[in-house]
Amino acid sequence: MTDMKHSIMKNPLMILLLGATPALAATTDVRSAIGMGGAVLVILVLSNIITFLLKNKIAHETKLATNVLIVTGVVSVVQMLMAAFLPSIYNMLGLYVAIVAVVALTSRQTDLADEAQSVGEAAKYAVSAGLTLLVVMVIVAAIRELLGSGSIAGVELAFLANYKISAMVKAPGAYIVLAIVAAVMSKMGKEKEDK
Amino acid sequence: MFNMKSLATPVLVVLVFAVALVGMNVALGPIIAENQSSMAFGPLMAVMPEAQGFEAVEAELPENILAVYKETSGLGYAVRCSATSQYSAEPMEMTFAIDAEGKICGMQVDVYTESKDFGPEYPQTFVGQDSTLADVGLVSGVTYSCVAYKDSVSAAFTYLIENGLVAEGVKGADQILMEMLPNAHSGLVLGTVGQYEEMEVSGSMVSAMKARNGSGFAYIMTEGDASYLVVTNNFGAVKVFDVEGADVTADHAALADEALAHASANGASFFDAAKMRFEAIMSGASGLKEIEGITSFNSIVEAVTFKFNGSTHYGFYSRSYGYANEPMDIFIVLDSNGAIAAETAKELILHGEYFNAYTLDEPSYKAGFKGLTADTWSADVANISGATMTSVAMATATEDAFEAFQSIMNGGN
Repeated sequence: MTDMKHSIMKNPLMILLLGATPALAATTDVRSAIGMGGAVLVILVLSNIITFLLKNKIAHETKLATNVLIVTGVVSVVQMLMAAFLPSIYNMLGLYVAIVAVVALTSRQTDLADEAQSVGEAAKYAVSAGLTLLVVMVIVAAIRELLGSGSIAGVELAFLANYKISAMVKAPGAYIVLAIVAAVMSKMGKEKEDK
Repeated sequence: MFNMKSLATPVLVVLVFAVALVGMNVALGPIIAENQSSMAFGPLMAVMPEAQGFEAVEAELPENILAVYKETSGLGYAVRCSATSQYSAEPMEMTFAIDAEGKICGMQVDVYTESKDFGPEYPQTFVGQDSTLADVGLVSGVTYSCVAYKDSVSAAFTYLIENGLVAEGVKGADQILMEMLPNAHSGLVLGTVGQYEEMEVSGSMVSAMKARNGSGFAYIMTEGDASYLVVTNNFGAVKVFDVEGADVTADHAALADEALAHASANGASFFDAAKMRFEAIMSGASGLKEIEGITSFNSIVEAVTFKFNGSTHYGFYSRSYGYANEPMDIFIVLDSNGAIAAETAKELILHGEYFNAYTLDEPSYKAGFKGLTADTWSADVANISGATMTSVAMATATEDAFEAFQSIMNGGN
């Protein structure tokens, strides 16, 4: 499986219900989507690097448990760094920052890190998946924020002031937009696979 | 087989992260605590920038109050509250500060998802106001959102005053009199929202208001040092109220005459429209003439009497407020016993083309009113599913017609 195909077809937002949680929570505003997507990217990269470096020390029977410990440990560190240095983003995401661990685990990136031949390759898998997630979240957030709040990244657009669709900032709006974006991404993935 | 050695790596991972997190907590803990404090109190500092700090007031709060904070150096209080109007996608939220004298010293809107925007200036009109909110008006076209917003702030004041946290403001005479308007002349209000145009004043008048539906006038007038609310209807009746709410018309004939003269010069006649409509509704009606001297003050703009099938009937033309606060044209005919003989409207659903949610069989709806009297009537009869404002207007018109009929019976007209 190529990096791109893996990023699209195995992306948690695309195929796993659990992955929809951050999409619902963090895509009402482009800023929070960037914050959440960025956090996932950093966590995936750090988790993959640590997993790769320890892969020869991890026994087969404790692999899953160790991977969970690594991911949750990295999430805790990133969470603390965000609380200290990105407080507004951290406040916007609230307890959903911790859900990044779920995203990282469901994306099974640590399995790929296990298979990687070098630190660079392990990091590359993570960057590829993280960037895709970031882009998808920003697209979903931009659509929801424009239609639901009449703004983009918090900047009010006067011409949209009287055309807001309140459902877009609620869960139904998230599912509708996510479904449309997922369908488009799925189609793109299939086309690439066919070629 | 499970090997104890295999636990070494996970244990090492736990230890490394534990040490890292402890170290980070020591280094970053103060920064995080400061961030959390400024996040929590950020909106409060915005409305009271000179505050030293805040502490939450722990108490059972009314539903609309989200939180109350006391400024630690005694500058006053900050309040976060919410408000919901019929146009709210979700509740509005606002934060405001009240100084030690009980006046609002800062106000900001935190959440606003109303379908129409009342603009950034409106919340700032609250600054400098005490609990009476005397000089806070409404933004035209966004009245329901403004009323909900103002009511929420007022409810927060009530809570703070009842708990001895801030001083109560003293209402001015004009404000007290204006608050009487819904009871004094319901034709000039919809709910508690004024439905009138301000007019140029003269003589004893401080303010002059003409009902948007043509049902009469209201005036704030002065005589000596005292202020009075004076209302007139379309039938030449006038009432004068003092700040205690007492009817003092008999003692202030000069004010009453002045108001009536102004109303007479600026009022409109609805007789021709009423005559044409009632003759069409009650085919065969004869001897139709205008009724004077009705002493009810409501949405009725014209009343007539006529003979129909040999008995006396009374026709009432109401212009109660319907969809988009627009006056409807509603015609009610009562027989000599006060029972409804017919009830209809020129256009039952205003802006019908914009409605698609209401369900109504007009002939059976109108027939539902027939035979009802003031005693047997219920507002449920006027209910139209999906057209709330029209339903309210029909119910109001019917009740106003019964009240006007009672006035005729009492006055012997």
